[in-house]
Amino acid sequence: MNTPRNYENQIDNYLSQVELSLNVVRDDERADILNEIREILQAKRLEAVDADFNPVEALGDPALFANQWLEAANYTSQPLKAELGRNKNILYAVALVVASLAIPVRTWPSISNFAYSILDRLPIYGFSALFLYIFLIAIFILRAFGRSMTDVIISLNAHVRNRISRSSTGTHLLHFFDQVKPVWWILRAWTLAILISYQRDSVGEKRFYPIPTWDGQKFFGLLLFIALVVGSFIIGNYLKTSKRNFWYLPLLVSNLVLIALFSMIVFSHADYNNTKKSVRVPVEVILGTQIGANCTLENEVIAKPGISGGTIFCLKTLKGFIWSDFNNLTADAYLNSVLPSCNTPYQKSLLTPGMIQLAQNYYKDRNLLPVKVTMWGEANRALFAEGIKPCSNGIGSSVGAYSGFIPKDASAGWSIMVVHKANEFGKTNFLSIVKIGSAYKIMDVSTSP
Amino acid sequence: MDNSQVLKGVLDVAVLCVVSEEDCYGYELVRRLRQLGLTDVAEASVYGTLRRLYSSGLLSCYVVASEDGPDRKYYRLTNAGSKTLLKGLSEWDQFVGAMKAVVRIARTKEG
Repeated sequence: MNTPRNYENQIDNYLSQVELSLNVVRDDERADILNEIREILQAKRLEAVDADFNPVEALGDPALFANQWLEAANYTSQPLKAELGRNKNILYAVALVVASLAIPVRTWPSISNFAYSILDRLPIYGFSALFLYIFLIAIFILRAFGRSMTDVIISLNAHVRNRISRSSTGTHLLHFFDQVKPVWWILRAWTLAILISYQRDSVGEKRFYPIPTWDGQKFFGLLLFIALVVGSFIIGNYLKTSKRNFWYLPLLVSNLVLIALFSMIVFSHADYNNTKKSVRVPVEVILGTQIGANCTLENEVIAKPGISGGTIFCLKTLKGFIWSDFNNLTADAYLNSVLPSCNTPYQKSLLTPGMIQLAQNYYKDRNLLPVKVTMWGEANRALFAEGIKPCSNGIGSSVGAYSGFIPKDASAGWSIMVVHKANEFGKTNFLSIVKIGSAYKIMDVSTSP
Repeated sequence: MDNSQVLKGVLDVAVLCVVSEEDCYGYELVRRLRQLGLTDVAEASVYGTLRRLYSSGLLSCYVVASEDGPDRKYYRLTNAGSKTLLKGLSEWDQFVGAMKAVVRIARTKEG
């Protein structure tokens, strides 16, 4: 006997199989047809006298049903799955391999803040791994079912839609998403425009979020955006009103990649506004990731490239970006967002997971808290960076800054510098002092030229 | 005799006839056709025909919410549909007349 759940599953399977044979039909029509089949099944079930009567079985072979429908409606084209041979599946597989490797390599190879602000949020080798996993899963599904990739994707898509369509609310929800598709067409155009801006303009003092730029010009960036919106609408309308053809799978994959990129672009900028209130730091300079914060782009004291003996910082002033000697800086969200525009020499970490684990264990075993503070200021744990960061940009501490560790129960720490002037640079000896309770303790001694 | 082949030729007119009587949705149309004796009519053929007649402008449609399942699409005859129906009925009458004459030859010979 059919339980309601079994019956619903049978309907979903039946509709998925019908859908495979309806590739020559437009998207909107296909949804209508599937809805009509539901109507038939529902009516058959209501008028059935025998409790064991199965309306799904009564409809017969799904492919035959679809062919009857197509013949009566005067559709004569061959189904897509007949057009796509094994060779094209191999082509898709190769394209996916290339895309899974080329996209992260081509889009994020440059030493740009944007690239690493995203990479910082992913596990080590996150991007490559992510795309590789997607590819491997696709291959796995293909091998498991021995079917063409297009068939697999259409079936999955159909199955999900059919499950949602079981209820009237689900049907309305799908209808709503179909209606708001143009919103996504605009967003994907914006995503592309931002990516192009990043590729062209990711140097100097230019900003291209949320308004894209072209050669630093927002006006041209907007023109680019508008052109991409037009293109996006043309493609969107074409797909909406055409049958499934060769471009179905490539465009579907492109859309999925763009959705992922859109999320990452927005996500990578989201926490720039986390700090609502400015933090006035009384001693010299401090710009760092707060304790407990996620691994992120670290906007810290930035030494101007080529400068030795002294520390100069990139500042946003009323006159624009300037390199300035430090006095007091305010670490706030705004500065967080503008500092990367000073063309920071951002470098990828060379730390391996094993090295990180080893270092973390070292500090943990000794009940120490690794910290990164700047200059010789008080180690305020609420403000200063903490932890061993595999995503560190490697310039976390400015020239003369102090990196080290303090006991976890320490309330404050200082670094005293003693300079032995031997040449034009001198030699520096640092003595790190921490305060535990009311007592002071020397934690570390280090030297530097 | 293979009724399905005959049905193929006359399904358009049959559908237009039933819809001309009263607006109806797909399955209701199937049920009506079967009640009227076209027991071999397949759901897929009727729904496909409805789609084609709708695309040709012979039928219009509107959606009505259903408590039993998905929303129902009701079909209504358009002016163009009415004209096509009249033309179809006239052609059918001619065809039936011709067929009666043909059949009469065989009956006379048998009798």
